[in-house]
Amino acid sequence: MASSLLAGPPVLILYASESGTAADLAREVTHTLLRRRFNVKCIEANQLDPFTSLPIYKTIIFLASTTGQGEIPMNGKDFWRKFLVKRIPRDWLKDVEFTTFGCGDSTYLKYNAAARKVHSRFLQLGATQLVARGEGDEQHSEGIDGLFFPWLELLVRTLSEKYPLTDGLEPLPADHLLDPEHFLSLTGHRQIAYPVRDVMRDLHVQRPASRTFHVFRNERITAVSHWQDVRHITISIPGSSARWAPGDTVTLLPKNFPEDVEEFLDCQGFTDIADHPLGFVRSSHPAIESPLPGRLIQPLTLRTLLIHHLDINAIPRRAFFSMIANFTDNPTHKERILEFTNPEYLNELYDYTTRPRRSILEVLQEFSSVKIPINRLTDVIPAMRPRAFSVASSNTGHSPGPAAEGINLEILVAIVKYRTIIKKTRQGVCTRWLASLKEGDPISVVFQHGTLVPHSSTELYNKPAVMIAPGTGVAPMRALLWERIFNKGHYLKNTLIFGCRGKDTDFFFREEWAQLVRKDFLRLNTAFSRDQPAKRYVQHVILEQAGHLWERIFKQGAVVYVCGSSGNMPIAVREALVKVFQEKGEWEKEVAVAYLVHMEKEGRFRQETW
Amino acid sequence: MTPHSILPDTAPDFEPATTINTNSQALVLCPPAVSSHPDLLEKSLSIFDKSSTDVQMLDRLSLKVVTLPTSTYSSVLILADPSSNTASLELEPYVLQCIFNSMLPKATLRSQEETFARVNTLQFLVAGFMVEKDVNGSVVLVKPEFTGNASVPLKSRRKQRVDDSSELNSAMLESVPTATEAPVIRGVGFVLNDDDLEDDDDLIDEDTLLETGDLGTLIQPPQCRPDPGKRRRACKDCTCGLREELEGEDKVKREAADKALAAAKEKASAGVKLTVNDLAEVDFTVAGKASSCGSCYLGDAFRCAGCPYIGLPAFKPGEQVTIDIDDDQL
Repeated sequence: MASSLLAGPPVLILYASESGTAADLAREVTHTLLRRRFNVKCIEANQLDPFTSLPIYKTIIFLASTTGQGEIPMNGKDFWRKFLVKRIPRDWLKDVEFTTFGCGDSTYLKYNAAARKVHSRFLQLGATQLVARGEGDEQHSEGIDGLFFPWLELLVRTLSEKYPLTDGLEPLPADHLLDPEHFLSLTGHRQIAYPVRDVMRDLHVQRPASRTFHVFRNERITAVSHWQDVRHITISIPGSSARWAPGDTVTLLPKNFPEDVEEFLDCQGFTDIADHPLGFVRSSHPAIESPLPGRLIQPLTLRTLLIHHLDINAIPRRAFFSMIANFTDNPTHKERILEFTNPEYLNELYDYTTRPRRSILEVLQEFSSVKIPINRLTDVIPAMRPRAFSVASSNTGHSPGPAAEGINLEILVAIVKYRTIIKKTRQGVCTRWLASLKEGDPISVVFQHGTLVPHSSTELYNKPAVMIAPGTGVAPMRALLWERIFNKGHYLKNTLIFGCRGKDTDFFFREEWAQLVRKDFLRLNTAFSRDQPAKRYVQHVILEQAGHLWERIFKQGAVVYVCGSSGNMPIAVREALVKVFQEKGEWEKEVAVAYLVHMEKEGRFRQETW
Repeated sequence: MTPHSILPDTAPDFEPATTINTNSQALVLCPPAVSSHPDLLEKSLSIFDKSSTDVQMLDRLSLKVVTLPTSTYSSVLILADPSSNTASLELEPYVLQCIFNSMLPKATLRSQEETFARVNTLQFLVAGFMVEKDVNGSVVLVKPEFTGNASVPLKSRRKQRVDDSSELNSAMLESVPTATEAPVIRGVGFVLNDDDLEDDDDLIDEDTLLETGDLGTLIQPPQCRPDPGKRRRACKDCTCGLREELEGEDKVKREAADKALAAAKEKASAGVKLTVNDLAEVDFTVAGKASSCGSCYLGDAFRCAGCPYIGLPAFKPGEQVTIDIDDDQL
């Protein structure tokens, strides 16, 4: 667009996103402002160096999820560290107007902490608040969207009043399709010959720093009678070609199954061109970078793109419906699709998509008149995201049990499978793929350094460890335990408090713990929630073990690790610990709480929940 | 050293930015040796207007004993080192960056040393200056109007090699977001090296932002009171029973629908060929009852709450419907 037709000065939209929600919302803000003819630049926070580039923009919008312990997500951490530098003058951003939006979950202790900190820091550096900040809550009846849309509306109204369009110019209508900035196009008319037999199994996206290994074993470790299928997956690492520490994670990029892809191709009428060569064109100075990775699967065809890059089983968001409304000529379908984009009908959208977990593929099969043009495919279908899993084995090479040559990388995966009102069973995209892996299958992993465990050379590491790790939370603690035991033997003290449903259903690594307890390497206390009439969880065990825990934590300076499912568990664990401190220290509650906070600041209370 | 090379440049093409001050502020920077030649310093400074000229010692700047204000000066002069005629002035990157940040856009930096610019060209480019020549051919460094992408990002500086200046030039010419007026880019007033961020002491404690910080104002949601008619959501690890309750509701719906479908399947296997129209007209849960909407075939997006086909894919009008009750095991 010509500069003279643009409204106002350039607007910067930054996002720090963990699972893609904040990034999606940033995209929506961008498109909404582009339709109002603003000059917008939307980037991931880490991609911007604040010192040289931030103050160029007079209007800055920051969207952030909260992760870990109230922290900024990984893709905003570098930016954030720089933003926190003490030496920055307090009036540095005095010419900047800004606002923030947070994606949060009110069941988390540090609800929307990241976005609030960002907002506070902008104010501290002299920026002026353009409009009130917004906070989205997963627990809201309409989810995060429930509060996002009112905030967006307020933002757009304020910006439009401040920077009105030049005379005679109207904003583009909401259903106007913006020109694609990045797009696919067919580059040949003949089917290519694939270099491999199995385009799902034998091809891998070349993610930066990814390594390809092979599956050694994929074993179900919950009783067959138990409703949940949890896998212990072992990946063999030849020689010592990779190193990791307890607390590290590996990210795995799932793949779609060929049968689903066939359905998609059929549904969209792409079957005849499914194996023709495809090219991907990227704009050099886009308003937003493409969410697809820099290196796409090779050879690139519709089939391989759909298997490896496009999340056709994702639950569609409102923006999806806005786009597909343009690709149907069936008035009944179009009308209903547009209703789903109407803020008035947000609860109907929720009932249709989120509540039953209906996938994009299913929606397209239902609205069968919708035909997405190839050049819009990557705008409409979200990119496949990698998922992170804590490493459950130690790098020392002494994993118990039969091992291949080299060392074993092990993970615990709870397969996601459940029923909703939709007849066909719901399955997690990543866990479904992991469950299908067989011995010998190649698998591509990216190691990611974690901060759950302090470095083995530090004083903190060498303190006694109290590990509170129910369910699959025990995975990183198993890695830590084996490392501590093999390297330091009886020198380091270890306590594990483990909880699960039943002694005989999902008591992971039962024999291993028994071995370690017998040889005095480990003190183990357990809670089996369904083995007796009264529910029994790790927090009950904590109260029972007050004496032991007080001795370790207060007298010996132990480090407490809490790992497992987020939500109520970490909250209940903290409450139980506070009660222990009150009782054993004969403290008032405030003092006990302050001690826990002090432990956190010292690095002696470390939490990883998902 | 001809007089006019040290006079502040007051030529008309030189306008200070309107948002700071309208008076020209000048900065004179002195090499350490100047302090032992106070008469030289006096002589050099005599031509300046004392009220609008700041004087700083380069070594104090380098030691971070003093700092320069940001975006203040319209001209900067580095005095010659009186202790040696052939000495070439080396300026540390940190000091150069401080000077750069203290200058207004379009401000100039000059030196009395003739060898100055020739030796340090690369450093100047890296700091963001443009190298120009004035009427006598002596080198003048100018701070460009837009400092945005025109300066090389600090992180990559260390990796540059001296003979790569041509690469640097092209990096400087990268396009920069256009604006309708000259913005004043506020620098932070310091330079950060890669390892400066290793130490947490250089950062403020982020928890204080929540504890004592200003959180601005929060937008109020349009309807704060929960609507009794609205559907509720259960937490991820619900312990109060709401999740079970909601799942129970879905289950009941699913079972009712399954029952209706089972009845339909029986009819089908009894030889009655069912088309979509038949299905739309018959409610299997109550014998003889007609359906009211006729949209069942369109899919869940169009079905009513009690529709027996809820949870099934859409089907085409006129199509013979195959009802598959069996599902894969959970």
